[in-house]
Amino acid sequence: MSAPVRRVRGSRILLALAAASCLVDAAEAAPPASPKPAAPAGTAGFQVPAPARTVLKNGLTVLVLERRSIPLVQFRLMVKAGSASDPAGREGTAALVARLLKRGTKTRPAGQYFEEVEFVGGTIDTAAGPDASYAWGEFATRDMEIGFNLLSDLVQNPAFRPEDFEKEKRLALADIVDALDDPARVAQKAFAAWLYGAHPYGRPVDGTERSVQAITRSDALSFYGSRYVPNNAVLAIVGDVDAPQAARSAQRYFSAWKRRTLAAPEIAEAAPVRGRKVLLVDKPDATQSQIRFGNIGVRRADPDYFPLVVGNTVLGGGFTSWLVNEVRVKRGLTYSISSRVETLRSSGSIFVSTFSKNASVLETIQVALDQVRRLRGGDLPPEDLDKARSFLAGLYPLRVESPEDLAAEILSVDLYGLEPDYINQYQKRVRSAGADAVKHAAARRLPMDDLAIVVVGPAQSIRKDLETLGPVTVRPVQSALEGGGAAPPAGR
Amino acid sequence: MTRSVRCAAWLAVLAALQAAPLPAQEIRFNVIPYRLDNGLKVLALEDHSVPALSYYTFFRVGSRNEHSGRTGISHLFEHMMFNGTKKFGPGVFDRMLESKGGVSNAFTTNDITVYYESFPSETLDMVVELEADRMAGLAVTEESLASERDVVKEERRLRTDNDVEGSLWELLEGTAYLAHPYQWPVVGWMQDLDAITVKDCEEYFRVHYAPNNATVILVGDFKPDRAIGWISKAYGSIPAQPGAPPPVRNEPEQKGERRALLKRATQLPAVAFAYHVPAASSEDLFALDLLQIVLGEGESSRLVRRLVYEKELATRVEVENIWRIDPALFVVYAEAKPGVAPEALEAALSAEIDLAGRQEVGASELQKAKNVRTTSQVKALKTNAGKAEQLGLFETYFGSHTRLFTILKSYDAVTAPGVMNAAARHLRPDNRTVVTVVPEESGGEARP
Repeated sequence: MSAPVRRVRGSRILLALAAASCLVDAAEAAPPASPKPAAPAGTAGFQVPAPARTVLKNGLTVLVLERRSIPLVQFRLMVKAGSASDPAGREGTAALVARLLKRGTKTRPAGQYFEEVEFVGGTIDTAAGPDASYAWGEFATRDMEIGFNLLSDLVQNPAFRPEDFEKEKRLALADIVDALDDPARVAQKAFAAWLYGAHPYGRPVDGTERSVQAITRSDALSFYGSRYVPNNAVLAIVGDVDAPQAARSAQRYFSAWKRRTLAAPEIAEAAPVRGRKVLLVDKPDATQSQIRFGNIGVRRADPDYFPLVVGNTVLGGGFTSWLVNEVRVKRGLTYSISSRVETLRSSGSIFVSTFSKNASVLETIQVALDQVRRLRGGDLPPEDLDKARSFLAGLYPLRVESPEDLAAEILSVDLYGLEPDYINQYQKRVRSAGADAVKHAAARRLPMDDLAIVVVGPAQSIRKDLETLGPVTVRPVQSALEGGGAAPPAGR
Repeated sequence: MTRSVRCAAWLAVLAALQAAPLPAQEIRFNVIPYRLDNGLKVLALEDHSVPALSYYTFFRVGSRNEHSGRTGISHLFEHMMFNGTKKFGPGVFDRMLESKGGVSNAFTTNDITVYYESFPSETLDMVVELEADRMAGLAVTEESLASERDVVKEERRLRTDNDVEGSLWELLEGTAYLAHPYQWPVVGWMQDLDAITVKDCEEYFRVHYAPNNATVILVGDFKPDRAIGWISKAYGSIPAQPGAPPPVRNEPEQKGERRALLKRATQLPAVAFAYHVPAASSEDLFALDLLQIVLGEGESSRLVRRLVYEKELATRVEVENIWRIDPALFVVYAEAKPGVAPEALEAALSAEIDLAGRQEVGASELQKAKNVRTTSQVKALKTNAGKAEQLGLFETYFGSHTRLFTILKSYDAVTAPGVMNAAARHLRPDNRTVVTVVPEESGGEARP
């Protein structure tokens, strides 16, 4: 809300930042003991103080970072288990558990719970991702204790009432159906399934109609009981708070949460796709097709990571990338195109994301692949390299400007086990990616001949074109996500 | 402004968030206004939280200023503003900015076109030069127009033609307005996009992209004296233009419900209501904004609680009270759950809206709405870009950015009878347009 202008009904770009960033989830963490103020001296001097770190007796890690300029407090709690920990055949369990947390606690029915949150103008929400589940909220500084009270109640005492379980499951199923109408979301989910196959990262986070139908209340309770434990969780608090006071409140509100032993989930590496395989998700009425193609990428800790991010920015980050120039600016084939390096706890991915009218789908893919080929071949003009490095480094302070972005960054430093001073080292890491390292990473890591390709569009008019790229599997939208790995080998 | 002063201002807002009756509330920034001789307005706000700043340029022109047959020119033109000037060739603007670690983008609405950049502090002089340069003289060529037209058509396919909600909005506005330019989509009709010429663009630029039709807003880490010096030098020589007459407020009063059906290959039916409401500058705005919160903002709002959770009729409900320069729309939108007929959903929506016009909201419900409105206003001001955008929007809709500093008092003054009366006056069946999305078979399997 707040100045509710119905806007961006046509803005110049859709994915600019996401595209630019590649690093959608960079982060920050603990040590450097002496907190330094943010230096107002150009980005060269960009510094974020280390968050104050406390580990409660029950194992909950609490990270507090003061950002005093706005009278708001951001809470963000991460439980390090997400959809990759869903039981097989019960995909969507982590996501359903996250939704159920909002349906009331042992002492507060859902209606009352949100009356209390919203009466003070606060917000609380939850969601699951592949590697972790999150509960977050935002409250006015003055209501910080209310925020602690409500968030801790939601995380520690969810009611899981049988009738609420059934109701929420019906809603989750309805949302899955609803999402089938969004071609971009279908493409993104289908791409994960097509790329990762039977690997846990191939599962749609929200599950499928079939898998969610199969989830029982006891599945949800069991997931909650075994994964939502303090020694598997981190609470970040960022905003207008006094760090010692916030840490004391965290102690007060979260110390009753019981530690439990848990087997650390090991997520295996995913096998890259060999050769090219095309999934065509049939949407007969579409006048434009969504396009994704790529392959397995790198882990965050891989030495190739920063050089690859820089190379990827030359290729498909921001508004002046090769992909934008060749596909959008010169040929008008799309409104938005980007390539991304996405990292997860285990194997991440690297992929190009775009869309075009049906008649130019093949041309779009071919022109994009030409750019990949060029970068793999080592054609890297020094000015493009410089621009990419400056762009990433200069943009970084803006990417962690808001308390919620900063809180998310702090948590991902923890989740990915990055160097503790990651946030303050980021610009240096980007700037020190040399030409040779970038060329080397591009040649080794940018996928070209081995590709998972997903197109969501009308099979009747684009199938023939796509067959020139590799064997094509056609599926209706409704079953696009079912068992990417178990797909029959490419019916022509 | 020092950090401590800013905190003090914020504390005043905090006091307002205390639960019970709201004391006087206040948002205050030390915004310094300037005006150049050619009419360009400048608002400057220092904030040294991060070593960066945001630079916004608001032009008071949008699809509201277009004419039938050339719809979409505002938005297409927004794209053209990135395609080079006499001094800097195509793509140079973005290249220069990105090479300094900055980003730029723009958006177009029915009322305004807004360009913005966020970038490291030391890049300000360059941004001033680039922005002034494209206001001074854009180069529109046949070639760049042809390519950009294709890009915009892809955007239209993305957001409207292949997006159920986008299509619904187009039909809703197109049905609700008979005369006023708000009846056509900001992105424009496909055939109109094809018809726009270089000459149209040049004329559009001359009339609407004049300094006296623009406001520049900078927020962040800069020294005002230097910044204003750069701005005066870079923009000072751009001549003012006689303004185009604003569109006439010609929309006739609606005298009875209007209905439209949208048949689409979609999974689920949906229903939307649009009620005519006054312009943002009207005193009714505040009661209607609070009504929007009561009905549809948050899990505890009436429509979400009752339609989504209690009755299980909808997967999603949205309510918007749209701010516009000319008389606007209050929109209620709901997506049916699988198996729910659109008629049942419509009846439930109507019942809730009808109730709002017959019964006063409770004291605590009204207070909640005010608290939600207050925090959401504070949240919108979290970043430099957020502050700049809010200042610009208040300048647009209320004629002065200073209204931002007093607006919470206007919400505070709204009473329960005030909300009920606003609902009774505006949210009447005779004043509404109903659009229903009906799933249609398309080769895929249809749902019950």
